[in-house]
Amino acid sequence: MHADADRDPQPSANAGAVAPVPTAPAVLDPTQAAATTLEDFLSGVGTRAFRFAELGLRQREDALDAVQDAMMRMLGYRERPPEEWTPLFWSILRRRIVDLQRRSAFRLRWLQPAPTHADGDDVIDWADGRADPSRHQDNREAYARMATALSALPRRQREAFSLRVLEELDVAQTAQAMGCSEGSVKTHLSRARDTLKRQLEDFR
Amino acid sequence: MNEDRQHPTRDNQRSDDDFDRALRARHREAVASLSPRVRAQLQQRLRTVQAPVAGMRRRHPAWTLAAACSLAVVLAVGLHRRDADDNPTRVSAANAAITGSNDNGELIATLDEAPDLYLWLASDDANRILSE
Repeated sequence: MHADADRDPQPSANAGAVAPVPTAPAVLDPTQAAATTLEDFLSGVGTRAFRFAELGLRQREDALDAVQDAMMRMLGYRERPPEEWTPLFWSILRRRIVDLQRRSAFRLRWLQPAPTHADGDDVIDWADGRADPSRHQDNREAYARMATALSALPRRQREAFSLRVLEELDVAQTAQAMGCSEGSVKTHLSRARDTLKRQLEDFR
Repeated sequence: MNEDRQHPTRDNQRSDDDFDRALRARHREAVASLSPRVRAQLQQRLRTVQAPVAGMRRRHPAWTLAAACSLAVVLAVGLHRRDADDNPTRVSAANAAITGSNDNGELIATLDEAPDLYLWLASDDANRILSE
């Protein structure tokens, strides 16, 4: 059984009402854009990498450490062609997160309860929404629910869904980043989607 | 018949796509809603990561120049000391050779000082004496 599933509490009742997502203008995905230098690539991927690490680690500082370590190791692959940077970076970050998860589990298992995304300020980082506090709160709670559901997934399913759906890597890149076959990616993705659909029915 | 079978598949696919799109939109919003504090920390860490590389690049010509100068100085000092060490050896070796052959030294000196001896050796008198 996946250990994370026991620690995640049910989302609050207020978070059940999902605010509609505004139709945002087409945002150019920094990881998909053709970064000509590794510095540009790392600069563009930083915020997305942080959210990915935050889902796996649930600790702001740990997530920042993981991103920094991944960026540092990525510099060793400067000579690789730019089209290889995306799967390489996510692969490095994924492995770094696993390392930190193991260390954290060893260090904290008996000392303190693991934080959860529904805990609010301590886990989910979110900018202050002074312009529209109500909408800001709804969006934040909706994302907290989504993050809780994603974190409760088995690790491989979470990775497959995050990389393939949220980060929009193609199947081959996802397989490369996860170090598995494309068939395995599809299996993990399908199972993750089935579980998430049951938990986040109102997101559709 | 086939169309009947395909409809649920098509509906499922559409449902999956809608679901993915909704979650992707939430995720994009979350990425855009990172606090200024975390953004600043990310930038700071990115600069920290890139600083040693940039520093090495900037220092690279200086290091090369310093290394070349050091090498030149080391070579110059080394060659100078080698010459200083080698000359006394050569001189003392020559001295040793001269002193070692002290018996023949006087003869050689005499021959050097008397070229007439060589002329006499080539003369008929010398041939006659040798043939007797």
